[in-house]
Amino acid sequence: MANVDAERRIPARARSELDFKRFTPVHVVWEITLACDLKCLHCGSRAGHRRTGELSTEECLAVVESLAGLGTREVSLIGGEAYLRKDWTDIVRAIRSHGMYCAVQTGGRNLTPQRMQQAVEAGLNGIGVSLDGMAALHDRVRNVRGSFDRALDTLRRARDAGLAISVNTQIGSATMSDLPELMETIVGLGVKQWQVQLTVAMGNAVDNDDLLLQPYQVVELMPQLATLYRAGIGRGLLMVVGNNIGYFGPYEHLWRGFGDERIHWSGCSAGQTVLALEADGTVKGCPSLATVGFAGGNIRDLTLEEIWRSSEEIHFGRLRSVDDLWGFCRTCYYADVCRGGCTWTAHSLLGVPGNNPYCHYRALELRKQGLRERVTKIRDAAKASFAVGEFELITERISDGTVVRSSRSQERPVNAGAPRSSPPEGRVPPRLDLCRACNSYITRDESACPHCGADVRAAAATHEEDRRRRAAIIADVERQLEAIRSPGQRPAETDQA
Amino acid sequence: MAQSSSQPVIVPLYAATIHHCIGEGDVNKMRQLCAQAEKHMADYGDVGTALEVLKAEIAKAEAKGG
Repeated sequence: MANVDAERRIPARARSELDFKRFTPVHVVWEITLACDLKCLHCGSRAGHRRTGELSTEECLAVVESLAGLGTREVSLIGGEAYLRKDWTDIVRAIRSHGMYCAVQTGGRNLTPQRMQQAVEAGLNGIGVSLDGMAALHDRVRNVRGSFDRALDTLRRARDAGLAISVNTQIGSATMSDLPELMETIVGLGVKQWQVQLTVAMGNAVDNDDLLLQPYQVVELMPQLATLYRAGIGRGLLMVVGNNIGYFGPYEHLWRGFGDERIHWSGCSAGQTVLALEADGTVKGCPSLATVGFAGGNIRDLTLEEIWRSSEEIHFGRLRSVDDLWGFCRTCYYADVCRGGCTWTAHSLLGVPGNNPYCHYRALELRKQGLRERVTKIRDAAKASFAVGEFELITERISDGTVVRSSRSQERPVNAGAPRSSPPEGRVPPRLDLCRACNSYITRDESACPHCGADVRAAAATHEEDRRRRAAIIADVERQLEAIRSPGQRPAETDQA
Repeated sequence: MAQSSSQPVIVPLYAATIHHCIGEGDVNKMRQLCAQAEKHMADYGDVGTALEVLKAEIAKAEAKGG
């Protein structure tokens, strides 16, 4: 395990309790331009042309100073395509000069050898390249022929240049059948992290709503992701699920802690430890959220520190409670911990956050009742960047398609409209226990699992026996492998149970 | 990752991929060892028993959802 241990590092964006309490914007995602060389059919920001009034170089460098002052540790540069700004490596260099980790998220179509070399010289740490399937699907969704091959070429050159490399995949209605082959491809390229997330109904994806996964399909998707996760681990690939995949189904213990099963989904982190900027200086609590309703201000009007400390639009995540939930999420067992999953996914779909049908636990619970959920578009999105449309959420019988409920007739939370101030101290994510009989998370006061009925303590004791046996096996195999690696030594005789 | 009481929480944001993290935990470690043992098996053919023990234990863990 020497190689694994040598590679072990805690990512810069990992949060401590203090980060949560102090509202440190640990991770910043910064759209430095909306200019793009792809024409993605699912692009939420409708990237293509530069935004009106994008920040100047001097303004960008001032932003970097502000982020350093706020305690940011990682900056992800996005677009559009970040490299289409002529000064993008000046921004990278400034970020790195403060010791902050800097990566760029890209489609990789024109990240030429020269551009990449300049970025490496500026201190860029890593790149994430988007691959939305194998060549046919990727090129169709990215809407540029040959973009898959260009993305792979970018990954190879980045790897050879010594950059950390990862792959990012959006999952839509046509993606599942491509995932196994895509995993083989990226393992072959030496990629170590593969992030997956669902395509969200925003911008171009509203225009092309056939690309969206239906909520009931998560029942099929999640077991596939678990299979791929397990297959990838042994081959050095860690699947990382994005913040709009979940929540609390039978695989939750696989997703969040990268092996530490005490970590589970604990709610949207927008505006708490995450900050985002649009290319014109607009500040939000999450890069994906709609501009309308979630823009907290512009750095041309207020300092970044003032916006971060005082904007109610950014602070919604600090204030949210069960009172902000509706539909299934409001009465869910996990309501207070989960808080409706990804704010952006729910808001983009239904116009109000707090009710998220893209949830494995929810889909399984509905299936027990013979029900499933699907969405259908009822209003197009405006042509603006980060514009949302509206979808109807339909609950229907699996057996015959009879509609039993529609989101159009459901009560939604009433926004009192009264100004609410950010609490003085942030919320440290609550901790649930894991029922070792069914792998469902449970509140810490449960003695019998509410999901499977097992005796929680007895199941934990059995798990502990398993853990000890595994530890003995691991130690034994490590000894044998080490002996094989060391010439002249024979594997020790062991008394393996 | 160390099993401390205040272990760090990592929040993967949409499309902003993460670097420098690996799969840990005992089941993941067994999967990694299994891959190493399979490689040695292919190269030298001398870890067959250990590999079978590992595979059996991984199967047990996966049957329980691990």
